[in-house]
Amino acid sequence: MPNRLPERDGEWIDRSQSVRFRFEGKTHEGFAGDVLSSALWANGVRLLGRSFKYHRPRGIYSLAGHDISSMVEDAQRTNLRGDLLPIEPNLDVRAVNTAGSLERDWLRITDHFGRFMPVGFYYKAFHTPRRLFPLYENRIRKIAGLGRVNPKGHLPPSAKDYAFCDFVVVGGGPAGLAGAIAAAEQGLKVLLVEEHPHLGGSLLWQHARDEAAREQLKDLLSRADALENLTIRCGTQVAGWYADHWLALVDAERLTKLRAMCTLVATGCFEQPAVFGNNDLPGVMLSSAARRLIYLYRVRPFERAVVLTGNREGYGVALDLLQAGVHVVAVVDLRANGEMSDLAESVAAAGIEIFKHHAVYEAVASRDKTSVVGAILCPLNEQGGPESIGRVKLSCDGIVMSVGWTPASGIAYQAGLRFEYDERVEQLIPESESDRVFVAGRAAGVFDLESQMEDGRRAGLAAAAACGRFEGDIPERPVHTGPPPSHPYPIMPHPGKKNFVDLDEDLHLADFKNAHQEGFDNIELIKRFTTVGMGPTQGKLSNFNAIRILSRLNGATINETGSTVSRPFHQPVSMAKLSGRRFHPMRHTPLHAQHLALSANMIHAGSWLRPEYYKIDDSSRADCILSEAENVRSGVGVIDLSTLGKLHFCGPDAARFLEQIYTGTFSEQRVGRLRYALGCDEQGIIIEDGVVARLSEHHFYVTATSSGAAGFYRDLQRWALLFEMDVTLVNETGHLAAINLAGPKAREVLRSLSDFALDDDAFPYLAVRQGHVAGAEALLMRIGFVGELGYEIHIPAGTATHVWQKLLEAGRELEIRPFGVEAQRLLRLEKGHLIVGQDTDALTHPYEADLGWAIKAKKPFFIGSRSLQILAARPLARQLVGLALPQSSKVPLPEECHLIIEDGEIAGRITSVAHRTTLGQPIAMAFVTPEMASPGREVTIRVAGGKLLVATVVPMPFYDPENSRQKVAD
Amino acid sequence: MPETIRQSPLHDRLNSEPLPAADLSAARLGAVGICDVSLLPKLGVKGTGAAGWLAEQWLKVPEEVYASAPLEAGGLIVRLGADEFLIEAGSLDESLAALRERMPGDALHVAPVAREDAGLLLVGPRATEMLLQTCGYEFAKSPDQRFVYTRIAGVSCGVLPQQILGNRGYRIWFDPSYALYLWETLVEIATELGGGMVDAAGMQ
Amino acid sequence: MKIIHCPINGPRPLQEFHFGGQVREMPVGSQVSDAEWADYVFNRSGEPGIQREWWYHTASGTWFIAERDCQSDEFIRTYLYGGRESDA
Repeated sequence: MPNRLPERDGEWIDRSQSVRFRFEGKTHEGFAGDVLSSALWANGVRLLGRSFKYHRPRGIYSLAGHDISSMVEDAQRTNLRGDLLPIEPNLDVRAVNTAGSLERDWLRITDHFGRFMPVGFYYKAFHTPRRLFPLYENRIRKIAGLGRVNPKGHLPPSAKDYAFCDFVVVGGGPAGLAGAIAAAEQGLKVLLVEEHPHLGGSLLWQHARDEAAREQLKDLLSRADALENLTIRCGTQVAGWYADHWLALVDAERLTKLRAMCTLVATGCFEQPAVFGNNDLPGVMLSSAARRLIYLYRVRPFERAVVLTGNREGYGVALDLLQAGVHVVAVVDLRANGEMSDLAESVAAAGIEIFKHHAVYEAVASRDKTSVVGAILCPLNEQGGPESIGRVKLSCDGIVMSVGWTPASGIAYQAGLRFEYDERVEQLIPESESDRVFVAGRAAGVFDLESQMEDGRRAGLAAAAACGRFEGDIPERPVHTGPPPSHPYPIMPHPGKKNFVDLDEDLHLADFKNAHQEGFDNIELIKRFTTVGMGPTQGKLSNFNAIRILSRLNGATINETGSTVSRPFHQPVSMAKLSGRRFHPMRHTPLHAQHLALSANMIHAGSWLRPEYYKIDDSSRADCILSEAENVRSGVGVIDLSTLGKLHFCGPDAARFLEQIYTGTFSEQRVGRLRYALGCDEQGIIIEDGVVARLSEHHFYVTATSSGAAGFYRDLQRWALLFEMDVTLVNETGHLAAINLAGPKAREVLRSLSDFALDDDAFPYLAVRQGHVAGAEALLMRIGFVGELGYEIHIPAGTATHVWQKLLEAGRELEIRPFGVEAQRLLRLEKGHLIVGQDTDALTHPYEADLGWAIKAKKPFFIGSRSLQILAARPLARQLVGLALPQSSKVPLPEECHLIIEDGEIAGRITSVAHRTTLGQPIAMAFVTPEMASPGREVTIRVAGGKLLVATVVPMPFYDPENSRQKVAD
Repeated sequence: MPETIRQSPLHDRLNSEPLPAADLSAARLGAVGICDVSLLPKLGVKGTGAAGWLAEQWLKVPEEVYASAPLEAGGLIVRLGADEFLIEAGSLDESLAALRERMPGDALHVAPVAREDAGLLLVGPRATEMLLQTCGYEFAKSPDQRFVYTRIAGVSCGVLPQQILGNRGYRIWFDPSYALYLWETLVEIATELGGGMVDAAGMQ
Repeated sequence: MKIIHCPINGPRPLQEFHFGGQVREMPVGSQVSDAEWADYVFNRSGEPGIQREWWYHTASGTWFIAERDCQSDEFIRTYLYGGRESDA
């Protein structure tokens, strides 16, 4: 590695571990601790990537993941940032967004057409002719993407966990460390989160030459280490801050959902670039990037460097470069008076030429345009603009920019703070803090090292006070003294139009002028029109320069111009981390294993898994379903209904309560009898139906729909509060199983297993009895949902398997067969029984479904009664009817939701349909207009393919209109 | 009703693989063990007269909501609300049928509640860590023997932290229809932490 | 994720709750006009300010009322129906 510097205390690389990796098909070598960018730069590779729009060559820019000059992908992952990607032995990556290869990317030709593609170009060039838009879209998508997703790639699920602390400190630099220590010393449980692999923040590379500063860091680290209640997580980003101090922490392995009581934002700043011609060439980089290369990764950044500065720091950078063996050709200071401190003296003493009130006007590109070979300087006029005479050309292979900072304020904004521009530091600083959210250090405009630690300590004590653990005085935030660390306008106009403001989106200065001219003069508008800040880095290096530019174009101050709010995530988070283990609760009935053993085809019914039908030999699904249904009609079948809601209402007001909930009356219902119950909401819309069984004077047992039970019970609990009645509600839905034994032979099967009388006198239709079935405590209801003699058997869930098996055993000679959800739906359709939510929708009221008989309007009040009064007085808009469909037809039979058409208008729709039934005739239930609702009336249905089919309205039930089958005595 | 006709909701799932041997269970308990205790007989008592009636049965009735207390015969009683209690027997043999028989037949102010909850026991030094992957409640700050209603992996559960075998352990109750899902989910996490299913019998 | 202070279960994250809508007074009596009744059934206030809301803690089945400033999204206080109060 030709550019590697000698070993130094505190470096991030481990020279004992050499790592070979592949980039763009070539093998390179680095050290463990190197990131891709640093290892490549150490090997003299300066072309790291190609830009989004113009495919311009790019090299290291921030080396902090604040730019996407280096974005790579491999077989499994895409859009990885070279600045943040540790090299590993099997790493094999390529740059994204290239056609051919990085070096020979043939799309680099777009760079030449830049002047034909101004801002807003896509909208204007491609919106007409409209018929060509699909073609344009197709082509543009192919050219304009970044990484590719491999749909066959598979990543193992990553874990998610929860964590709790009193005080979370975001950022492990001097302010963050001081804050964390101060709070922990007061007894708070503190979590310090640092996005880089090591603590220290700017201390590591900004003050690296200063021995005293290094000692400070060691001291902070050892004090932090000694505090048991201070936990540190490195290599972890705080991706976002959410309501009530809920933070998303993301590291290489997992997503942690942290709940804190107080937050300290000590995230420092994003160094900002200067804008000049070709300011994106490989070799042009931020001063902090050059320092990170030198101190963290021990790589000499260039041979010959020009330093462009607008602040004191630039002089320090020049000395850093010098010490690293770089020939510093010049320091170019934007400021008229230059630098007055001893740093300037040291720079001059080292023989480095200083150009005051000058700017870098243009970076000169090599012949193949892939690197810097020189810098053209120009003197500045009084307004800070470029003079056309007096230009100087210097030869160099690196241009380092030290023109200023903007706070990494995203977390603070999300936590509710707002920032304002302060001319003392020429950057945004917090307007104020809240009682539990604090900002300290450079993010708050505090740049002096001692002051940063004081500021952090202040915030730590404030947090301790907010948690009730500190009652002493809290110091004030230190105020910045001295010249501003940022330059107010490091932006140079240039006719060549390659002076970039946003490197993600390839936006240059003229784009902003053009957008402003077109009327996009507001920060939110100019953001969306130019797309500044909308690229992968979300404007970390471009948003603030855009604000500076816009305020100058508007002739306004920065505070008047405003800024946009950073949203989560701070750095991209993979979908795998967000989904984690994917908790998708699924419910199983106690008979699940029985169904599998009987070859059931299981389906999802809401959150439940239920048998759709039971597979027999090679029979088709349709054959199996019909066969199950026919078996119920002629023999005996058994179905698992454990998903039903099962509720108890007990107490002196139980009957009264039921009468206020449902549309019917129950006070006079006899003990041991069943009654149909219909429930409406306040609008008079059907929401529930079921069966009410009276077990004693003060005790009712009620079934509810599978899908509605939980929500219904929840609402009942609230009604019970509001009605202020003496009633106890019990929800046993999951605790009891239910099995329906149905068919003419049902009684025979049950006889051998029950310990109570089953003859018609003892146990008539619509009665409820309690006793034992196969030794299990059971409640039985004789109802007729499927239209045959049937018993619904309710037993404790733990006994379900035993009872089910005994039923099958007892019925073996009678050829008992299990039947599934589909057969049951068919059987009930033949009986004209509606299913709430299937044959009713969010607007169906009882009068539309021929359920007016269930409404006891004489009751003083029940839920929906007032609305039903209003609805009863209105003409019906539609009615639910039965349809007989043609037995044979060239036109396919309808499916659910196919429309009824009359005079070219929609007159209704199919709600339930069965193509094959035990009647030998296809049938359906449908909504039609009241005029069409008379038996014998023909209606037209539009089926698949737009074809029309004629059906006939018939009365329901379709099967056994006398309802005699379910009442059969013996 | 003979208890032998009852099965745990996890019966078929647990029967599909052999029980871990004693040394494997012991190793798992060094991290976190999960075992199925669903078959312990349970009874719910609900109603404005519930507390009074239970006191008459000489049962120690917890005064505060979410407080729990051991029962003399073994087992425990938990106060789930002002008017609701959960009683769990201490062993499979102990039947609560007799207690149930003594309840007033008219259910006027004291109603029995069928409780077929799935019941799990989580125990071991990493039990709390395991819960942190599935539950946003800060159990570290929650005292022993205090019942907590919360959600674990998306399922509503009742949790009772306890000291078990010298470690912090957790009894968990939830709707049995979620048993298969929650068991699979928790065992997967426990396995990653170096633990897994352990046999309840082996722990007595 | 917001924290709500359930009067029975203490501070819990939002995902443990179900929102039950605005607290509304049901108009009672035979004099209530159709229009007044329809207003009660279908209309809700969208005014910024403090709203009284029904919330339900799912795992424990607890209904309670919360007073929330719907403009700043701050819970002011929560209490059980029937007036037993606790601060949010």
